Amino acid sequence: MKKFIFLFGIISIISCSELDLNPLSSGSSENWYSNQIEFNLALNDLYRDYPWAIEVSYRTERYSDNWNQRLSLYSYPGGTISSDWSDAGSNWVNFYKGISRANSIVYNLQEENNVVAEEFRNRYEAEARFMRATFYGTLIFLYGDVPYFTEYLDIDQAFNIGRTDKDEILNNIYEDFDFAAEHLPEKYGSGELKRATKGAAYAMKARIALYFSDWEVVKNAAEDCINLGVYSLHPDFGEYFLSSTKNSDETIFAIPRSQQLNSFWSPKSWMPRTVGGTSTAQPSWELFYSFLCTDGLPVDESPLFDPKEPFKNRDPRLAETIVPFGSVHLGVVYDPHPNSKTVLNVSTGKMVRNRDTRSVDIYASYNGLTLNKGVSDVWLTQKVDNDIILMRYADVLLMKAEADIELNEIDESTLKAINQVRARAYGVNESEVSEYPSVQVSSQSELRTILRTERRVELAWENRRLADLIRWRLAEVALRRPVYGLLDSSDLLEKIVDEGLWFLPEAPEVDENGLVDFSSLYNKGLISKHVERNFNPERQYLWPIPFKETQINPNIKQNPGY
Amino acid sequence: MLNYGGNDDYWVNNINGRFGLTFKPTKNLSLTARVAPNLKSVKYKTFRKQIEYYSADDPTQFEGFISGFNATNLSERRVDNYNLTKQFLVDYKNSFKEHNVNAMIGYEDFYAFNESVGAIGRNFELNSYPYLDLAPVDFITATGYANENSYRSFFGRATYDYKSKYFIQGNLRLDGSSRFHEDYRWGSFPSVSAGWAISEESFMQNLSSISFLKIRGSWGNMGNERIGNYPYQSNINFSNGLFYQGNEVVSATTAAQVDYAIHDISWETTETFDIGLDLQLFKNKFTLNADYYKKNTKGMLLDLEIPDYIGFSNPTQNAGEMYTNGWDFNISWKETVNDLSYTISLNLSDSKTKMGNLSGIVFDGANIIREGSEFNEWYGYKSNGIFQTQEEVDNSAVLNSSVQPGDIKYQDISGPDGEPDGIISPDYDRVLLGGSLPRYLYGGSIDLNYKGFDFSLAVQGVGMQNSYLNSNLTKPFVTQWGNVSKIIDGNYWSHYNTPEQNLKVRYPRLSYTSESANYSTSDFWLINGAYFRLKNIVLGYTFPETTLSQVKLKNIRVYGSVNDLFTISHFPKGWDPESAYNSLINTTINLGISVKF
Repeated sequence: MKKFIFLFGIISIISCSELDLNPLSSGSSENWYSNQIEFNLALNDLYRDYPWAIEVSYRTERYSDNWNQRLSLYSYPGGTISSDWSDAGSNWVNFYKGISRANSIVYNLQEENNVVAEEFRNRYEAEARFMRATFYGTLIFLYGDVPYFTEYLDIDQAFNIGRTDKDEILNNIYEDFDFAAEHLPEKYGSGELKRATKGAAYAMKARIALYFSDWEVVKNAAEDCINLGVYSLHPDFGEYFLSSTKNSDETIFAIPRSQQLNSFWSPKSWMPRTVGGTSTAQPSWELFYSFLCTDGLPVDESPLFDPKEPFKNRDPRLAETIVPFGSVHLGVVYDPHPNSKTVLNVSTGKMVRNRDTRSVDIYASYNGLTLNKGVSDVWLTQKVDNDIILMRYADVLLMKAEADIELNEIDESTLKAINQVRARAYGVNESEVSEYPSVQVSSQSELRTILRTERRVELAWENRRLADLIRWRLAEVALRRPVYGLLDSSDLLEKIVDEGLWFLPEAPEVDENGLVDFSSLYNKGLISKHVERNFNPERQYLWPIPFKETQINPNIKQNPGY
Repeated sequence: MLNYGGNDDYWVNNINGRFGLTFKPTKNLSLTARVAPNLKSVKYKTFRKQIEYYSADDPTQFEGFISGFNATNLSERRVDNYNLTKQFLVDYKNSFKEHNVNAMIGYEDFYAFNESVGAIGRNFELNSYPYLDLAPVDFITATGYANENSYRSFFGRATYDYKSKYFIQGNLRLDGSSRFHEDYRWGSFPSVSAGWAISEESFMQNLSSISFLKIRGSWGNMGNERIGNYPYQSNINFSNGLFYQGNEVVSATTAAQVDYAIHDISWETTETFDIGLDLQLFKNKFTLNADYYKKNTKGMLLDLEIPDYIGFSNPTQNAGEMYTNGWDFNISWKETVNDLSYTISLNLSDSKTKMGNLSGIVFDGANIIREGSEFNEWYGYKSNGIFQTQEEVDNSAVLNSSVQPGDIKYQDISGPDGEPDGIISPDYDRVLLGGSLPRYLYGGSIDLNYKGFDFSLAVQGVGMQNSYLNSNLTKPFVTQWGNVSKIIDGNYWSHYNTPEQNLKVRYPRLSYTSESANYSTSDFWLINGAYFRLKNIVLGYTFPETTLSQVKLKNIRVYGSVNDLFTISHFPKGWDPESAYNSLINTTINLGISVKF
């Protein structure tokens, strides 16, 4: 009997465990791309938000002169970045992840016996090449020459390559965009997933060309996009940015978010303290004072400007971007005036403690401003799902106008492009020239000034400002000026409020590039300097190559000055 | 939050079985079969409730939700682990006069499977029903994953001794792991050892003071495969992307290769040489054990850095070699004198690693593994005090143009052309700053028993270590609303100080802007991490049985103990030198009584 049991034990043991195990809950690269669905899933990955980390949560706006954050400063405007700067590292990784994934789709599609039906093959390739071109284009703008490849790289090959000249890369990028524009559809049906379109390929090509002031290309690509006739400006400027606005005709390329589908972010840092926010960061005074008056003149020239009522007679986009003092914002009156110790909560009808003036709460906005663009009552839930807008029609119109101006090929269509954008802000048609301050000049230098301000105010807090400052080479001016804000409470009462000078006693100076200079107010002791910016033009027009790459691969040399 | 924030629950069910059958066909031979299944299931449930807060002045004024508690959410997760070990052993034992022989061969087989399923419901309307069916349907998301691994081993062992005087042993293992590709799956790991109990020799019998003396030597190989489950293939990971479909936002499955596959990844092997000595003197009162060893690790499994532009995360590779030398010894003295018995023991050990030929580097921000370095050696700038004047700043290489007097001065080591280039950069000016691992670990204890009293004391420490001062401790403004660390107070560089005072300060100027410069890894923040700690003292008294028998108790002991009474170290007061991160040390005092009936 014992022997029998023992034999039974042996037999149970002989059923050996299998050693050839494959992943259970993920696929394996060994046999991927075996059917069309797998290609589709791989393409879908490029629409996730990881490659666009630089476009999320006002990432690059934080480094620009549109941003104010108490007494702190990011290391880019502080001039203290070096090759271990986390943004240089993480964006490099994210873009290259996107590139290698797009590459793998392209070369698997080009395999002779691939499984994708003929009719989809070019469209799939176009989508992947559109993404790859966008990623490479952004990379060469930020870092200059970068490693360039369109094939699968194994580790040995990767260690053997160095940085490719950015002009050479740019030509390949244009080819990718051209292929994409040729093969992508103009639109998708209401039952299809809305993916990259022809218009998106044109518009992104224009943006990448704009980064390099390649004006002919910008002009052609922007006009190609406009001529499709697919896009139009959303009728209401303020409404366009709200989370409730879905899939507007103005949007050319966007990554949607959805609270229900677990894609949302927390806006607490940009909400006033009375309604449960923290007022950590807000639009800067430089941005505030660069909005024109309703006569189309800057604040230091317009007779309509009243420094005591700075929101009056201003471009309507100001009130849509920054909350006007005394208006109802998220259910409560917003008023940073130090004597407004209480404010009205309109939903309860009661006066409540005003935590948005620094005389009540020292962490209230340090410059008295708070963001309005994209903000709606949904923000009170502190989980919001505004789309990540990567390209919109107003940007394309302004790119076209800028290309015309820089090429000095100014005509009706140039003015029309700017006026369309401006008229929309006033809620009127571009042709109703008496209803808004339409642009009617034709001098290149005047138009350049107008355009630079127009881009700033139209695209404020949309992650366009830093790139504009870099390509206009204005970062060395704007990002070497200090961040200013309100005086501390007792000084503020004594020097400003009691003198009847609230909000500011006079308009700051605005120069021909739309940059605002507060130094005379500061020299008079009427405003406070919060932190010094110290952009270094010797090196910071290019980001540093992440140090890891130079450490492990001698073929990769660092950018100058880092 | 404690009262209103919800709860975290965690249940573990674990069933272990071990079934064995032994069959002895003859007196000297035994056959054993064993099966050991293990089932474990873990259940997590986290219910987080929304907490509103109201104005202190006006309790009716709603001010917002406490950060992290702005909605009522429930997260549930179930994890099932199952593994099965099967063993079959044949053991043969025999003695021929004074020759003792033991031989064993065996087979072992292991399989493990893990599976998890989870669901999260968000934005509950009610916060007293922690069940997923109450979550709004739109706000339920689910997750799941599974993996498995297995190995098979064949092993054999033979030992022989003669008169318990000469010992010899040989081992051989053959291991195959599912983590490696078929062609690289199997590793063989032999080892041998020998010993000589000199004290058993006849010529030693006259030396009565030596009660036992043995010298030992061994050589062996060990294998390691503790890495991710499928490193020779690359996973295609699934996720979700959002798209518009018409005006609706919908989710679509996405797929991407995230890992770089190392097709030929295989076993890491460590070859160990060890010589040792066991000695007992004076009728076993004195004991000494000492070992010296050398370990050579080959094909070490490390996550070597690969270029980031390749688009994959760093894969684990058989990177190269590591050499370790070490020794340890402990001595003890044990004696009973009349009513007093006592034991005193001491131990001391040390080891040092050096990386050999590696095909790359591993770098985690502050520590590096590269050829010629120690394992996880500190890596950063070499500092040269604090800049005292603007002139000094102007004439020195700096990290960036925002550097000012009061910031840390670094040495310009090199540049792109291999010479100092007048710029401090992460690429060219960081160097090895010394090992991060502890050296000369020691410990000691004293135990005394006298009549009913017992006393014990334990100490421990590290003789040498380069420790890093955590930046939570040294940064003046970790947050804008937090307090400034007390150790900085009065000991930082400032324009308000006299130049003489500034020469003496320990910490750089207070600044946000210079944060990236001053708190980068450098030897400025390395301190001597050696410490001595009085770990534990216990004093107890056990009442004599004669007294107890009257009250019908078997045993009563009263005692007091103190843990971590004091520590001598260079760390700021209260800081735990055993912990690298932010933890404070507590002194614990216990008073107790134990009673047995």
